Amino acid sequence: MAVIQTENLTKYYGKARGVIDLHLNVEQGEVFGYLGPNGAGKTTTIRTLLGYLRPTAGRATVFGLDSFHDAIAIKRRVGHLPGEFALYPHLTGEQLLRYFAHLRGGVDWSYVRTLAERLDIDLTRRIGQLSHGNRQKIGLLQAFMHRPELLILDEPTSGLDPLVQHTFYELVDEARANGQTVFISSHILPEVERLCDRVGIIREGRLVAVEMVAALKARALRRLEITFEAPVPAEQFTKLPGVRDVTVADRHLRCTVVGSLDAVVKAAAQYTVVNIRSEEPSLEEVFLTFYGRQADNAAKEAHHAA
Amino acid sequence: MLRNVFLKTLRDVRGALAWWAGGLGLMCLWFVTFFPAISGAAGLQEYMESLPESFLAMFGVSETTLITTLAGFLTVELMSAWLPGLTIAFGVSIGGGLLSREEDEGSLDLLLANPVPRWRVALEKFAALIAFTVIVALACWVGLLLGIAVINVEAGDVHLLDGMLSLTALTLFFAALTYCLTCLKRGRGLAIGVGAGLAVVTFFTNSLADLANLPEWSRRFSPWYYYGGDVILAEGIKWEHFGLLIGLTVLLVALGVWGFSQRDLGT
Repeated sequence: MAVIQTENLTKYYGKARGVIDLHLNVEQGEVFGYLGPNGAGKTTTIRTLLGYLRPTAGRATVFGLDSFHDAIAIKRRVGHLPGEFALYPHLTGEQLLRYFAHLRGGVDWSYVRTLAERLDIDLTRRIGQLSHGNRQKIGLLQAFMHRPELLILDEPTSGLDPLVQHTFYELVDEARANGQTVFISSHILPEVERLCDRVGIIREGRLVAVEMVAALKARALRRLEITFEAPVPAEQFTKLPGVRDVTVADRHLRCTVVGSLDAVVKAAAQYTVVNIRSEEPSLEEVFLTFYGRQADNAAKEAHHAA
Repeated sequence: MLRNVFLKTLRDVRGALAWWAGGLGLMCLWFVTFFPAISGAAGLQEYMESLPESFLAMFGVSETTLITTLAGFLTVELMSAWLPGLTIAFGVSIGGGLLSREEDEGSLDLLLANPVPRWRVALEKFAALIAFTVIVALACWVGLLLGIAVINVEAGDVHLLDGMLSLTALTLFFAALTYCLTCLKRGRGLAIGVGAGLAVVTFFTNSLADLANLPEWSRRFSPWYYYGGDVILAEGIKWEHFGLLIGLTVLLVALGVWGFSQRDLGT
């Protein structure tokens, strides 16, 4: 069953583009990663799903309910962490969470304490005295505290230290195990790889791909630099499957590889290898390489249609 | 204090409330204690009558206001301009920030992540401002009563409570106007400018209408006419005027709540 569904969802801010013709399905119990560079339309999608924004065209449903008109019924079942949010600086963490708990009609306070311990957050301190990372933890806590059926988290690990990030990953894993659905917006590829079953990639307001994470990884680009004991001929590598942009300077070979490194490693093994350095490209580069052309074509088609 | 949006909002403004209620209450008490010196001053009424009408009108009074009576004194010194000017100042500034401050700072997104309807958030926030205004008006009333007790004069014919009621209605009208604008469109700068600007313009429209040779009915476009600051302490409240101000306030708040429920947030 689709927990989140959008049909031709379009949002413009005046003449400025938000999202265009979005078709998205997120199934119950899956962890869905929503990827895209800043300004691509991730936050617009989330704000539309939760009724902060009214679609310009098309529609969005959550649990089969209309995102704008049934926003309250939806929010009863959703835990939401906004991308950019402020907390009330004069309240303590506990006061803020109790306030939100009252607005929700009550939550299990022992679970709140457990979450606070796991996220290592002191709820007795005033929010104004907390670091960005600790405020982010409180934001996460309020999203998880009522054990919602659906979690919608916009850039959830922003400002978190690695230990707390790990705790957050555990919380998402537990949510998945409990049958909860999780929708995570992010531009951090390793995080999405770690957490998500499926990803949707949005670029310039359009959904350019929805894939299983394993498929995305297989298509990911990798920059490779191999240092040999002696110079090697470049043509040994240029014709290997998935290998591009080969350059050889003295004893250093540089190239980019799509998918498996197997062929290039085996070819290199014919010579004496001193060092291998592998570098994952930024997500932005993956977008530009795999989806740039598709998105550009889609934009052109839309332009011609208009 | 954190059970709902109404109580949370009151908690947020409790410092301002203490200062405004305490400050204006003391100011009222202080002003009353000057009355014996004024009422005993020989020739003051004649002096006032000799002043240019335009000068008196600037303060919202006329040459017929009897400054040597307690009602006339309080009208000139407090009710005609100063006190409503100050209460409108907090009404407009707080009313302008109730929603828009949260929207600008980003806490509104988190608040509305909870299953609370927007109309309820908007209504409870304005209800907190109503409570704020009523408490300040009550503090002014208590200040006036204490002042009168201190100077020990007969004040049975001064409609103090009527004055405070009308003051509350006028303040809430301009607060609601400002609030309504922030509900309809994000941002408080323009809304506060419009609220405060209209308060000033309509004050002079009402007080200077005669001098500017404007027809009498033109005053009826000013909320200050229905407030009746120049006559309310002496003549008492006109319920139809009070009702009109409250009715317009309700309409503005209703329009604001509706607009806030319909519009995009954070844009």
